[in-house]
Amino acid sequence: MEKADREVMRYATLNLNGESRDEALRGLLARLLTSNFVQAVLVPKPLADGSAVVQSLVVDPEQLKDAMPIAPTMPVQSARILSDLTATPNEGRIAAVLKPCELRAAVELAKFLQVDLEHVVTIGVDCYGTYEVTDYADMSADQRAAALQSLGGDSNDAQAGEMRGACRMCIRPIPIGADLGVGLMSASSDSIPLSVSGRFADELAQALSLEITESEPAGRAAAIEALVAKRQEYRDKALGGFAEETASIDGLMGALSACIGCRNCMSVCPICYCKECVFASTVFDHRPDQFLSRAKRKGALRVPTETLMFHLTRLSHMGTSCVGCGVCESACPNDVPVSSLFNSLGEKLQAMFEYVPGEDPAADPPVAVFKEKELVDIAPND
Amino acid sequence: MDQFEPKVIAFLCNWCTYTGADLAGTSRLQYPPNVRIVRLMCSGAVDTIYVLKALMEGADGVLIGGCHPGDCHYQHGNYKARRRVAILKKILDQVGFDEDRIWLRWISASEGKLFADTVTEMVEVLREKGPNALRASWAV
Repeated sequence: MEKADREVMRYATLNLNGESRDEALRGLLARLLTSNFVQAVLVPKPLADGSAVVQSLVVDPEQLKDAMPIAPTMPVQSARILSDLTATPNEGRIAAVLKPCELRAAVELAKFLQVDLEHVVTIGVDCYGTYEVTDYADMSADQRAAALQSLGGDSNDAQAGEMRGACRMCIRPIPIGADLGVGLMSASSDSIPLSVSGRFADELAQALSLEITESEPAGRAAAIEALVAKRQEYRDKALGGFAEETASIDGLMGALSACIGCRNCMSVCPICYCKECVFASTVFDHRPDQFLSRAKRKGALRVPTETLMFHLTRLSHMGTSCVGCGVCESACPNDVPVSSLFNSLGEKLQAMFEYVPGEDPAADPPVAVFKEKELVDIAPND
Repeated sequence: MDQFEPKVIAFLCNWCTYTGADLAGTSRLQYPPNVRIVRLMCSGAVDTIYVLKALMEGADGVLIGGCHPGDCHYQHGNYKARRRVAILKKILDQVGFDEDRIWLRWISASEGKLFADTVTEMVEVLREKGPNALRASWAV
């Protein structure tokens, strides 16, 4: 994907014609299927009792009738699903409805050759946030309705309850670089602005009969700015407090005290992609006498071992590529603030290399490259 | 009370710093016996997990030695090591661990004296800093 291609952003309008936003977007996805532009659509759908919304791979347009492109939860990071769906070459195209953090994770994984975006048409939807899967399942019908409203930015979160912490502190709610962007943040009661960019732009415009214009929808920049400012304020407060709490090893141990070493955070993380993780290997399968000798050295040994090392190693391995989606924390059975840890340290590590994970497909991930002249204070004798 | 003797774990690349350490030995240069050397093929093969493991288990310092920039036997391993060490130091600094217990130094095969001097200096600095508190921490 050429960078120059992606920078050209063009706009169109999806008229609602009396339909709801969801209905209009379903129609749009159905046209992608019926026009054979794509062979399948990856889009969230509710389960029969409505208590959960899950990602689904749809090939039959009929199955789009209840699809929820503006999904209230993010039970899995779709970048991981795209990794599975593109593991071997496949000529048929897939359209993937992604939240901005899922898009960033997919782009990031593509850089590590874990996702192949060649035949993936990314449909990015502006994101007001998501609810914890468990919170959504526990909601009453009224609360769910309020929750769905809040996803369009139409109401505050009060009635539905709070969104996920990672979403409340997310300052990147726009799907930058998506082939098709759904501009929820500047939607009105009768239309949703769309954006097209990249190599599929012309074909998309044709398949969806879009009238393309060059001018950005009115009020869009201001709407984004206002939301990001609110998020930034919350982020600074939350992460500032977290950094203070964890400014010592004892403080960090306190934050991680509830960790039981289940590795859920690692297994749901889109960026932690190694098929054979060192922590799942035999490296830490010590012989009984090794545990005993470690215990003897310190007088006692926390078991299972390597609590702190697990998190610090993960931070050092993928902190520079963390997209801040927070699925790690959502998957934690004990509410360990893993997302705060990765958001807090991730942004500092990324700042060292002026890198925003998943935003520019042409920018190399910091751990994969180097500059000859940099970081001179790290190895001072040169 | 006995003087505190810091323990240093050194990860040295096969082609430069390990050979430099060897030269220090064959040249009969004196340096403190506080360093335990682990030979790797390249400083680029030093995963942060090894460094963390040494520190969690109570090593007072970790020395990583590689070829001078431009001299890596594998072209770029030392440059990548530098990024990794920078990332690890940043993380440790943020969580209040003295990142100056980790030293990355470029020492070539012909710099036996530099190796001996580096170890001497590092041991002195660590002696000044005192023991790594994690040595006594059983719950990490």
